[in-house]
Amino acid sequence: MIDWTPFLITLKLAFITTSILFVVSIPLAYWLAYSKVKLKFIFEAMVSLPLVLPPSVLGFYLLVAFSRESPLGQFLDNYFDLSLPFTFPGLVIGSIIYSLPFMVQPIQAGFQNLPLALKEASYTLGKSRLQTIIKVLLPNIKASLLTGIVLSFAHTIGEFGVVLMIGGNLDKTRVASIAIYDSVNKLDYSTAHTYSLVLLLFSFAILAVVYLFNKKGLRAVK
Amino acid sequence: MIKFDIHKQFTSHGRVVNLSLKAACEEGKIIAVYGKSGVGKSSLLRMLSGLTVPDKGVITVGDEDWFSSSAKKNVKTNKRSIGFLFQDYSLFPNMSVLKNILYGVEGEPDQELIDRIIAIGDLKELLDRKPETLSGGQQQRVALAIAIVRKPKLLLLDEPLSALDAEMRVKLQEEILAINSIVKTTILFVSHDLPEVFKLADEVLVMEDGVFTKRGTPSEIFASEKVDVMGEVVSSDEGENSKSLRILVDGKIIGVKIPK
Repeated sequence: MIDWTPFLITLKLAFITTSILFVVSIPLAYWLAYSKVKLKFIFEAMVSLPLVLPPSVLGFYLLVAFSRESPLGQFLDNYFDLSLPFTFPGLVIGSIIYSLPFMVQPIQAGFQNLPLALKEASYTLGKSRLQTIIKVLLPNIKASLLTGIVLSFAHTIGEFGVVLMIGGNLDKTRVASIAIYDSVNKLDYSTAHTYSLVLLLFSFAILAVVYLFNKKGLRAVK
Repeated sequence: MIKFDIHKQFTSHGRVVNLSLKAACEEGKIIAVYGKSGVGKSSLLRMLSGLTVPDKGVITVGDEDWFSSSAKKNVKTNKRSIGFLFQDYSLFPNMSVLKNILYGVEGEPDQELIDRIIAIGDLKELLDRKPETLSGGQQQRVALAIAIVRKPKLLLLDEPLSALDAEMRVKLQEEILAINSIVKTTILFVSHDLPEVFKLADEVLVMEDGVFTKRGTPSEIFASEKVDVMGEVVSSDEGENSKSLRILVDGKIIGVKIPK
């Protein structure tokens, strides 16, 4: 009998991570797209860092930062009674940081590809920056938003290094990719096959959806 | 009365441009800003709209300061009562034509005004369509309706008809005049097109080297044959009631009839 719990944990993690990332990334991507601050490149590099950093490195530093020996870990423990290592909230925070560029970059590119005149025209019609973002900019970058959502979701599902470092291999934190690794270690190839096939099909379906909608989005722009 | 005395230095095409512009415009008048490319005509409109901040100076509309460097005051673009018709249409692709027109209307829409503007612009058949399905002329007619429907104190037109063919240009000129006869706003427009200036403008501000060098009615400004600000007069015919000029501007011959 296949235990589907790792998939439920994975989907829950991906859903929560993507939801939080969506809310956080819109203002961040807007700032990166339009800000003229000279040191912007530093923030762009920080956002993109998870793309090139080995997941184990990121996971290690997060584990150290969350531990009770660190100032951050002590602060969270003392003031919020929160311990992040080897817990689901810890997994969520690690996933958010790890998938940040997958949400921010498509949205930033979407903003940058819009004609500046759209934003300016909205201001001349009496609309504030927030109204302009909600009523004009976001509706015109739907394809970018969808790309960000789907890529972040898919990337969170495929995580291994970061979640292993922060969450370990416990029942409450074992996501699908770790369950595959665990099954192989136990020489349970049948379960590993099943888990792997489900992840493979799911990942393919997600990417197919992205390309389908991007094609439609491009056609609408034309 | 709309008054401004503004200064701005910027770099355009590798060249430093110093603008020092001072004028007072009577309310309800249509004023053309005329000058060669790159002298800063569009920058003037952008400063009046708040999209570009002047280095120093003052902009006063009625009894309200929109910008005052000495008082460190700069009213944001969205708080200024303006309409801005850009050269490149700038309709919102996600909205229908009707939603575009209503986008800038605050509070309860003035349905009678909206209906009249839609009728003048011949937009009734287009209301449910998306901007991408419209021709250039249709898009600019919608953009004009959007800018004017909120009854701005100052309407800024940045070469609004330059991308249109001659027939559509004339139609839009008629529309601008018809619409302004209803809302009676002050219009400042940038144009390279002399017939357009003659058709629309009550007054012309000639801009050279970053300052206004001449001001007057189109006939006063362009009656002289030494109109070096716009180009070279290649021929001139004196008629009984008018004088016809053929002028070389940017490689094109333009015909202008000046009433006597």
